[in-house]
Amino acid sequence: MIAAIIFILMLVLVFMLRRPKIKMTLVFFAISMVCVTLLFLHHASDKLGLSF
Amino acid sequence: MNSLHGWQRVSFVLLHVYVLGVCGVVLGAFAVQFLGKELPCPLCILQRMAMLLAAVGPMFIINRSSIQGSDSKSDLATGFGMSILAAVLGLSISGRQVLLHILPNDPGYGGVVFGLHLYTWAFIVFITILLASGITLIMSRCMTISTHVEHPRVASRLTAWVLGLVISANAISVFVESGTTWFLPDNPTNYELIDEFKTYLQENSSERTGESQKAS
Repeated sequence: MIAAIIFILMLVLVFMLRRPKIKMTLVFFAISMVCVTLLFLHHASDKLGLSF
Repeated sequence: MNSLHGWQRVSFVLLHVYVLGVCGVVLGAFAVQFLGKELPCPLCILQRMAMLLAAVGPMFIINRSSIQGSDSKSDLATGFGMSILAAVLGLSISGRQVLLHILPNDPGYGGVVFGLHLYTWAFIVFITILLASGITLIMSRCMTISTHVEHPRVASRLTAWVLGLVISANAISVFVESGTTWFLPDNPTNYELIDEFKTYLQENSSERTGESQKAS
């Protein structure tokens, strides 16, 4: 379900692209990148017992 | 409205090709998922996310070209900076999956397309994205776009819609695959949401038959 939420976040990011100010676009891009990185770290460290 | 000419026109078209190309790759993965009946693993889903985030960069430049007063050079740098960051993340994800199956006699995960597994293709796609972004930034002097059109063109709108639809389709597909659990299993074998729905229907029907037996 977390993966679906990240995709929805990315969809909001695409809608944000139409706004004249780029601040929110960059904020949503940063949030999406952090979420994907954390999900990757979760799956990568799952078998090592380091999963969060 | 300023008209595009020479390299500007080519680079504007190439931005659309960039976004649609990435969407095409993700749609190819969809074809393998539904036609080949192969469920994507968590790392495959993460690679799709990174690819679509890489496509957001050029889409950002296309959209900014229609906004009055935008600085096209800094927009170009911002857009391709986003693509490079997403491609580096995707490269590390696909690199990890390649390394997971690098030992001899390992069959790998899923089927092969043109002799390579999907994660190997993803690795190649991310390297291509990095190369394309780097070359475009080097060539930015002749590729800077400053159209400042009042309304985005049909091709630009269509490209944005395709990107939005591909992201939406992925959101739905992943939700059906993961069901109400927070994380996808390492080796998914079925669509969890459909199974949960079937179980719910079976429990409901057994409760009803129990109640009707008690009443009779």
